[in-house]
Amino acid sequence: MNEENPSVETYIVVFVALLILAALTTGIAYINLGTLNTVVALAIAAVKMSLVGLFFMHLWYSRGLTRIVVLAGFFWLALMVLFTLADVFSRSWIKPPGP
Amino acid sequence: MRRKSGEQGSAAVAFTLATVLLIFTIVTVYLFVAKIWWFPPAISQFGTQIDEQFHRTLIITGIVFVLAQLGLALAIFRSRERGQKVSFFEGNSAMELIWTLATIIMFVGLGLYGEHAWAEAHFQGAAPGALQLEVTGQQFAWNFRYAGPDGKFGATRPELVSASSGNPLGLDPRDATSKDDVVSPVAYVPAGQEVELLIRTQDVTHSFYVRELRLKQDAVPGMTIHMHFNATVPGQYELACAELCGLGHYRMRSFVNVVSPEEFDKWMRDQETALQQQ
Amino acid sequence: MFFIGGAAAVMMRLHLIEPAGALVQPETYNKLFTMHGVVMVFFFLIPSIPATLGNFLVPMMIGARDLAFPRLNLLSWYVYITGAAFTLYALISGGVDTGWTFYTPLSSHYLNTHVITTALGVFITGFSSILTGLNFIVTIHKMRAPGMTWKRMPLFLWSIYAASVIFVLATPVLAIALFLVGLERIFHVGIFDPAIGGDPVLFQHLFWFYSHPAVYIMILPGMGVVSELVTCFSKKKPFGYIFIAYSSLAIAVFSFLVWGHHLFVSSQSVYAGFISSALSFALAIPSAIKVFNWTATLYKGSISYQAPMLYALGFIGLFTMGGLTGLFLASLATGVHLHDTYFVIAHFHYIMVGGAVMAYLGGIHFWWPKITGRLYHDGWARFAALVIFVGFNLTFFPQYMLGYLGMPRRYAVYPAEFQVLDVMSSAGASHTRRRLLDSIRLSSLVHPLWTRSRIESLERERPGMGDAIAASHR
Repeated sequence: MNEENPSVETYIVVFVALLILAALTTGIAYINLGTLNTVVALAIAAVKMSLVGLFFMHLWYSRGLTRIVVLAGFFWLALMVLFTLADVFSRSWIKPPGP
Repeated sequence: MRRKSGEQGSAAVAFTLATVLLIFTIVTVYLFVAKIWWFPPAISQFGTQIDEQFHRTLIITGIVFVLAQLGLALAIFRSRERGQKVSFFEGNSAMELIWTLATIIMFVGLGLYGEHAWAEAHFQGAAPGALQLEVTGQQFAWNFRYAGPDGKFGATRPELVSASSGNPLGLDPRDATSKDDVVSPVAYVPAGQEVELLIRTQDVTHSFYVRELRLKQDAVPGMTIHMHFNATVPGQYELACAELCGLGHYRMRSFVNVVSPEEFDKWMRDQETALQQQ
Repeated sequence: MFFIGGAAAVMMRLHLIEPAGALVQPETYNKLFTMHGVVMVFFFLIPSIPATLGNFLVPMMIGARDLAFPRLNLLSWYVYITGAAFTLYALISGGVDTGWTFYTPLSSHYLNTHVITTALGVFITGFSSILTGLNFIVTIHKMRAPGMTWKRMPLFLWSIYAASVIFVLATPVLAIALFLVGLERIFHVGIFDPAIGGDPVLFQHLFWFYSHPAVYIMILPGMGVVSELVTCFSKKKPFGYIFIAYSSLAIAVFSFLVWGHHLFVSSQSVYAGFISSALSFALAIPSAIKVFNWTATLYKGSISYQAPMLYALGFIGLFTMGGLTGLFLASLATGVHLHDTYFVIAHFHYIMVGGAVMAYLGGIHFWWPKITGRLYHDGWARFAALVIFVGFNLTFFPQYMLGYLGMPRRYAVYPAEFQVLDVMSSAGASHTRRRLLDSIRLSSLVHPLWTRSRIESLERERPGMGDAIAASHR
């Protein structure tokens, strides 16, 4: 448990970055990108989440068990999304006959 | 730790316990074997396959069940506290491996074997030329729709749905193909002919369940789900809703009448005549 | 809470004696089974063993002074009470009738009962579970006494650890699912509404991602308790320690992969159904291994049949039954016929009541002297254990038959042909409760010396059921 604490400046920089990204999301919502709408929104959200996790939650500075725990969390999230999507996408594989 | 009890009561209790377990096992086996209460008879190929799978599972699990309970009863009775020395062994990897493998083979084999019946009903669509029958669930009734002579289901519009004015499905009168659609609160299907179901719902999730067909399928809002069956034994079979859909869930019932093809044609003609007279 | 849930269950069974429904309005019936489910699952079965035995035993078994975060532990208790208060409020102010599964769109658009209050209660209690799980994981990882290696830990800890992992990983998903139901109700955001691009099946996915593993939250600690009891009372070391321990972890991991078997008939893709069926069979394997190991532990031991052991043996017998009938449901073809019938109800009651509750009672009896310094009365406790075993079987066994006869669940009224079996089941239910109450009453008459500890023990098992209720009965 030898975590060095990030400096106040780091926090401020991250905070500003988050604000900019939030503004970006709002701005892009007014532009119609077609199918890219969701993709862009999710990408920005993922960047924001990583920033929060890495700096505010100190993951950048932690090692070992803590990282394993976080990775496990993501792994299970992936499982859930994977299985759910597996259902949704494979529903249409069998084309019913008829009208 | 705990004191007391010891040997004096132990034999009696062990005996009682072993007996209770034995009785439990015997009664269980008897009830399943004697078939006092048994399935309603299956009326389709698919239903028979399901019953076969049920039997297979029953036999295999039955054997495992009896062996496990007898083993337990034996251990309980033989190893009761009599002041004997405990024979001390901590584990046996070979035994572990054997019964792990045995369970894996048995369970996985049983599972894979059981997918046959399912695969036939779900991986293949209905046979071409199957009778199309649309089932719509709503709180708390079922309605059936036949495409009529033109073979096409007409358009429906949710805002036109009104059971009291005789249009429970909201048929759109402006659509020509909906004019000849026969709507009925009970289903008639010809025996021995493939029927394709189009299962829909107007409000919440319902579930189309006919025991004798061994067929159950949820009706999900926003989706039209295709199922098919081929009923061979004429009769009147109850259709129940098997997914909680609100207050009237328990009375959301209807009937599926399996009749001979001639009777079915007659019924269909009657319905169409009635429709034209309106 | 157990008492409230139990009362609801008995009301339902009494109601179903007559085909047309003997006691209550269908509306009330729907509320009863919802309350029974919500209360039993979220407020009794899930926290029962971890929160009572776990909090007490985990630090003791690994040689720590307390859990890693004692204050967090206290907080989780208050959070639990808050959640329970919300749910009780919903119960008193009119109830809720969605079923404990809260399926959309029934729950989000069509009912005007207290869905939000109840969901909020469950939501809040979820945090209590997460905190408890977190606490156990950290404690077991970081606070083991020197020399207490992983492979020397008592088996109870392995199972609690496995359950805690599920707590932490699964509960947030339930919270999200219920939160979304709340959003749907209030703002109609359309996540589950196909009219604006949502998908009602998505809710079922989210819900069962939590609720299937949750079943193992309930049963895993029970398995841990039984492992302890079996080894203690047969005076042997556990047979195949490593296998029992790892099978706990295997169950925890696999339990996340099989939720699709709740969706066989929910229009899930047939491929997904296929996979979850196969995985469900795989999940049965570690459970079977445990049963074999317990029996092997008993073999050639020197078993003393005190009350906790009776519960443990009852657990093994009933769990075998419940587990094997699970195979019928895991198989796609038979699963379709049995889905949403009484067969399912019987199956999970054999696991939950025959398993988790028996283990809980056994554990409470076993560690009762350790917790309170007083001994319960062994004779009455044994008697109660036997009576529960018999009454339980009488109640739930007929429901298997009802199930494959095709009686769907959640019906307030049923066709007359099912009556015989229903009456048997109801008789079993009232028998169990009556005997339970009798045994308390008698013990308080005949054995004044032991009554206090006996009543206290029951008081603890079912908060709220003490002298007053025993006296008012008859």
